[in-house]
Amino acid sequence: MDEKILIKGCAKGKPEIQRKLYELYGPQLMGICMRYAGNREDAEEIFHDSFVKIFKNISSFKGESGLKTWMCRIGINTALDHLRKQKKALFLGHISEQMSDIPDPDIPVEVSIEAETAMKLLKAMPVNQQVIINLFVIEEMSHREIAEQLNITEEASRVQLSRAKKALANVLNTKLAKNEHQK
Amino acid sequence: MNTKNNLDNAFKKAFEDYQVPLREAQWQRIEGAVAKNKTGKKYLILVAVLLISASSVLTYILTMHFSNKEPKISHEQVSASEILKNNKTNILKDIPDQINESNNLKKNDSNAAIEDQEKISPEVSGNNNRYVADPDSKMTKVEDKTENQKSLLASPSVTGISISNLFDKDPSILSMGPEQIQETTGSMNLNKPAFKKENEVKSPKDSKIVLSAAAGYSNLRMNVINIENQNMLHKDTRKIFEETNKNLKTTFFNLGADFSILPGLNIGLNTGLQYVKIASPVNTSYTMNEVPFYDINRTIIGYYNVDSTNATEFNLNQTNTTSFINIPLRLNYVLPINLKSELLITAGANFAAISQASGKTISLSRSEIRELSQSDFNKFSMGFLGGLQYSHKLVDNWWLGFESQILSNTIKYQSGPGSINASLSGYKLNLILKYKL
Repeated sequence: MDEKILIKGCAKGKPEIQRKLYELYGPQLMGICMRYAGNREDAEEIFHDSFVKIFKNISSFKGESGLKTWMCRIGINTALDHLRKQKKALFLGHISEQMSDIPDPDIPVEVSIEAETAMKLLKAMPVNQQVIINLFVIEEMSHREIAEQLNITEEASRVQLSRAKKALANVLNTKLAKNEHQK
Repeated sequence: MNTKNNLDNAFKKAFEDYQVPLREAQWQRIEGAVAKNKTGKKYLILVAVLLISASSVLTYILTMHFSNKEPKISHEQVSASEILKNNKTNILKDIPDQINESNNLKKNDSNAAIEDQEKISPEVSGNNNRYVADPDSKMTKVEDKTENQKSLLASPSVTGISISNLFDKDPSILSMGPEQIQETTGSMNLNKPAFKKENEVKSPKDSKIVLSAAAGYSNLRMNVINIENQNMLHKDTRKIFEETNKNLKTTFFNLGADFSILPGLNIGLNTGLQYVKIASPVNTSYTMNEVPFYDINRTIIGYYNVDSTNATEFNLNQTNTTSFINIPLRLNYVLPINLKSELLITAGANFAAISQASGKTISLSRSEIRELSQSDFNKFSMGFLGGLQYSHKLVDNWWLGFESQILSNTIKYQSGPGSINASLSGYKLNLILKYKL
């Protein structure tokens, strides 16, 4: 279905069109919610709030970006609001600046990992590092944007990313080494 | 080997088009929330429109009422004796003199005086009072009367009294001379109004606005219509709801206003503000010996039995109260029985907003007794009401009415992931005190 028809129908509050939009982009939005929330229960809360916001505000959607991008943006913002409310994370203010000198950790080879594995790795990290990985690596936001979004310094964002990547690299390098050893 | 961003790329690829399957219940929840938003918005708009319309009509009517009232004493109750007393002059005694004066005037232009009767509002300046001719007086229908009588009708001095009423009461006055008129009027009971107050003689339906206050007895029942997301709620949820919402005791007080919108058809519009408090004495105990187990989607897939030692027992013994602010909006059809009594048939909608809820309830989904709060119910609801009202005039503008009314409003009660849609319906018997403007 044409995006314009979807937008118009949802703006008019037509339930059948709203359902179509939900079916079309819902699973992807739920994926985003799962990435930010620690569990299905919280993810469903974020997802629910996001869709209510989407239906409420779709009449003001100007079409400056794609509808999917706009919806994902709402999902991310709702997830961040949710985390703030839960007071779970984002205590990123006091980071020692010397940490920023650490080079960005990485893995030596190109690897392909399953979404489920990536999700497990993500969930193994502290919530604030999960958020930075999500925003920087997957959403491709700059440190400045992340800093503005989370009300932290750019430096703090860099340090958290560095720590998160270091942890991930360690895990992946260990796995890679194990695989190499088995061969 | 390029090691730059391998990690980033791995994660990006992993989550590229990452999708998580949805549950049907998720959509139902979103649909419910969106519909609730929409309904809430509609109610707000409707209530705002109603309030604005009602206040505009009220302002218009009151403005008209007071602007008409100011200069026209003809709308006031003026008895002949009052006029005599106020003016310190016996107008009726002056009638012969005025007839003579009028005759003199008539000599100059008697026909014009009569023809202009409706154009010129004859006035007389009594001491501090100004009297204006009743615009409804039958002054033009005097062609075949004597010149004296024409002058008498045209006489500015007596226009404070409805002369036509005098003629209607006693047509023989038309053939009387000035002395006889004096004699006749002298023998009248001057304590009685020479003509009646406008709203005394008009039909009750003619009042443009009626203010009312009502209170009385009501008998309301809560009936479950359906349960949303029933598969997520304990099977005894309905039972608990019904148990905690029986024997409702209602008190209410209503301030209202009726506006005559189609006077020709005797149709009026009634609105107002009503405070309703529903008290529900709860004296119940419940033992949960069937504990639900859920699937990953929080849907109940079965129950396991627990023995009495492990069963959870809930005891409630208090009174729950719920208060509403109602705005009724209904059409009235007025059936005047006589000048002192009328019958009203009313029907319309009732818009209710919950203002307070207190007490305790059993939450089976949380397995606990919890405080009842306003947020457990949907904020706004709508229903219908209709009834029959009999009113009788007490004194002046005061009327006393008795109304029997049937009504039904919907109520949505949130219970964990589900909700109960119920109707609050029954009848009311009201005593109404009315003031007709």
